Amino acid sequence: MKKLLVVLLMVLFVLTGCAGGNGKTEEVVYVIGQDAEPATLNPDAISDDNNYAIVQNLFPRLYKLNNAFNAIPDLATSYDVSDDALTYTFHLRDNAKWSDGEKVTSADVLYTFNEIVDKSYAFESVFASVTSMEAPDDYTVVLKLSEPDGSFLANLSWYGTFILPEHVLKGTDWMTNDEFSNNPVTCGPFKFDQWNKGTDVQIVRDDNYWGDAPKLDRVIYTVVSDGNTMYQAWLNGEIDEISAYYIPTTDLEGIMADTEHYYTVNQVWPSPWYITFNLEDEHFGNPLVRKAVMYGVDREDVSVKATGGYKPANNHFIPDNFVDAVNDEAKEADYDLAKAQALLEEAGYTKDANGYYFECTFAVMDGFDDFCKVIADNMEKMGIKVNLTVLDYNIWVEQCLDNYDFEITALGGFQGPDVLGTTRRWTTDGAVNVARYSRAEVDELAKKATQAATDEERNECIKQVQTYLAEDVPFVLCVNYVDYAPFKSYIKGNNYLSVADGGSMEKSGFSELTYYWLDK
Amino acid sequence: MFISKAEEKLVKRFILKRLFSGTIVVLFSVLFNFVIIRMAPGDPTRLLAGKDNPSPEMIAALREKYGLNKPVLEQFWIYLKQLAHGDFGYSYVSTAKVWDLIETRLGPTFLIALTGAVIALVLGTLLGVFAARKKGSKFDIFLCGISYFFDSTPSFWLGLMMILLFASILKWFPTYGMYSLRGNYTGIAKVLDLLRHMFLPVTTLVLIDIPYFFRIARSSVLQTMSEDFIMTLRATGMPEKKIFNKYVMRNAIIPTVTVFGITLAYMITGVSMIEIVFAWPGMGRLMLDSITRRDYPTLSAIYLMLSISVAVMTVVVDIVYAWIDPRIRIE
Repeated sequence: MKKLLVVLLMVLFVLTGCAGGNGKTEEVVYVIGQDAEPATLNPDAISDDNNYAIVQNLFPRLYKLNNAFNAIPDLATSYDVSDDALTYTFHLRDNAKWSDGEKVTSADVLYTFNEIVDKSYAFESVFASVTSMEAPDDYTVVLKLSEPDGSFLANLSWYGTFILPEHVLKGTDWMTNDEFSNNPVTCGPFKFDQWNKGTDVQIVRDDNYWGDAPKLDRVIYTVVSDGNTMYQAWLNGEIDEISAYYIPTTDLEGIMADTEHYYTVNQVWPSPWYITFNLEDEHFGNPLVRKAVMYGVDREDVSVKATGGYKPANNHFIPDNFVDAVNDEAKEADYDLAKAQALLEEAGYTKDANGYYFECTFAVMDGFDDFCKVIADNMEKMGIKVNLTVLDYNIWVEQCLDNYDFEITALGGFQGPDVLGTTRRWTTDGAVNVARYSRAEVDELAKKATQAATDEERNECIKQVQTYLAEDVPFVLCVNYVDYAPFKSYIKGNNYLSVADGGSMEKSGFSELTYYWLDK
Repeated sequence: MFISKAEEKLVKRFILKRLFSGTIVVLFSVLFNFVIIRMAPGDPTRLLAGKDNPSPEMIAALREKYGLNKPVLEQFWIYLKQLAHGDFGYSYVSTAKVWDLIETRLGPTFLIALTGAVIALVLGTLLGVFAARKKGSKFDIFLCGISYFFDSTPSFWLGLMMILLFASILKWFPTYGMYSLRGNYTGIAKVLDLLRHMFLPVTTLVLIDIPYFFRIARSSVLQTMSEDFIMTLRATGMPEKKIFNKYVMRNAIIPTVTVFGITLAYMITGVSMIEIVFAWPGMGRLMLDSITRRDYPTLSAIYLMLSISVAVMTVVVDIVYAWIDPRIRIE
């Protein structure tokens, strides 16, 4: 037994002792944690949140969105719009090369966009109003629209519209082309290096890149599916950057206070968490009941209890951060419990012996548990008995979104990139209109907003929409999605910070790492 | 081992019978898995279309492409034809052949699952036998208590505690993964790096698995020791050590073989919770990811491999029984 112990201790000593030192390279390596592996490195085939951060460093778009949600030049150096807002002419840079040395030309752009439309790839909808695509020369692309589309440029700069190499892909099916999905030919500040399945994706600096050379030599996206483990690995220095989502709210305050080792950026996303209703439900089909929920759910309370106050209450029917389009005349009502109960009584409800007006089932999407519990608690206070059922995302999609089989539910999600992104949530054809809200005036206004010539005109339409939303209350936006993201203090050139603050926001896309450097 | 001609014939028939019933089980489980996965709510094409701006055109095109718009039985027929060609098909989620996905995961899974199972088998059985021989001693009571503790500990919790203690506080071992991402180790250094990364997941697995082997070894040794023939042997004055090694152990080892065989059979689907906590790129994680993403082809392939593995291991265990215990052969 004693011998065994000695041997064990020796093994332990050797194993723990050999940490670090030998074999290290001089490369500047940056490690980012992800909770899941990409399905593919083709950025346009499917909607894959797990490759989005990576592909922004590998492929160009004509224009790209930055962290201030502005479209900034990428492969195109500039663009012109005709006076009728129907013709967009993009001028491409003439010095861009694919990682295999071929030149990037307008033919690649046309090939990519045509393929997205012809094969119904994920972001086909971006091109819904495009009637023709032409390339008068190697470095010019002309897109013609059937009607003005105020969010065309923003959508084109967002997701699923990365330019792909025609000479590599022509004649292949993006969904089954493993060669490209696993080892893509790229054109970005970085190029693909290796993908160790189940473990990590590694990209390295591309010296062919037309723009400023990245300071990082290698970026490793490491897959850690358990959030607690990812957080520990970040604290232990094995990972440089993780999403703020994995930093427990209870630890956030301490980390933010430790300014020697961390700095914190905050980013407001137009992705509020909200309650929505089944408009055919026996209870929530009645607008009075929906209004009662609006009055009776204390959004401040939800913010504090469910998010530690880090995600502030949202007070309009569109995300508060669209400041130019919010309508202060048609806001969501402030908390008023008496008013809520008065509305329920006006709707014909009386309290039963247990103090409840009625009972309902709240379909909770996995991940929104805390948020929904606080809402349920508020509803119980006003006299609605709530049964929570937690559904995994797939089941939620089928049951709530597809089959409309729920009473009340809650969700989040991106309502950008610009204010027209909110239309997906409340127009009759909206892709994420869970309530199946449908009102002719609203649809008409959405169309007008999309075709509006100026931002003012567009915002005016969206403001009018809010008066209808305030009348019908198909949903109640509760908290605004704000990320307080701590970064290790040695990470410089952050794309969340403006250039004036030592960041790179004005120069780089959402997750682009061109200007990152490590001050170690 | 010496067996007669007649016995050999019996053994052959015994093995053939087992193989036949194993094949039937596998075929049924293929059908069963195929249908059950598709009956689960949730549609893979919805997930591929994304959350923020799902395109109905894309969903329709994908359903058409994967044949999901056909009746389930027709889909099953197509699947069988494909299987007959030894083809597991394409993953819906990853643009990769299902076999390529599985192939890369098998090695890492066996590395920790097999190491863990063997260590747990040896330690658990030794401790169990030891405790049985000293039944009622302080040592026995202590081991029983601690085995209940680890038996009732969820593996993901224990894994996280190991991380907190040995990676975060003591900093002896890396937090997660299989290799150090920043170090480009080669040769011996690479092997040592792998061993360092294996240490915590394997230790967690061993701690969780030891109680099974411990309790089975302990109780079957106790049971065998209380049997009449042991008493007879004692009455003949045979030394206790000889009775134990020659007669008790051989009888008592059979339940352990069963448990170990089943553990090996299920190893093909990995040790999911431990793989997830330690971000180990094994089969368990692939399986759970495939479930959440409704990746039917990958899941079907994993379940098929699992049912084959269980069927094969059951046959192997039966054969090993027959080898250890002649009575089973004759029956």
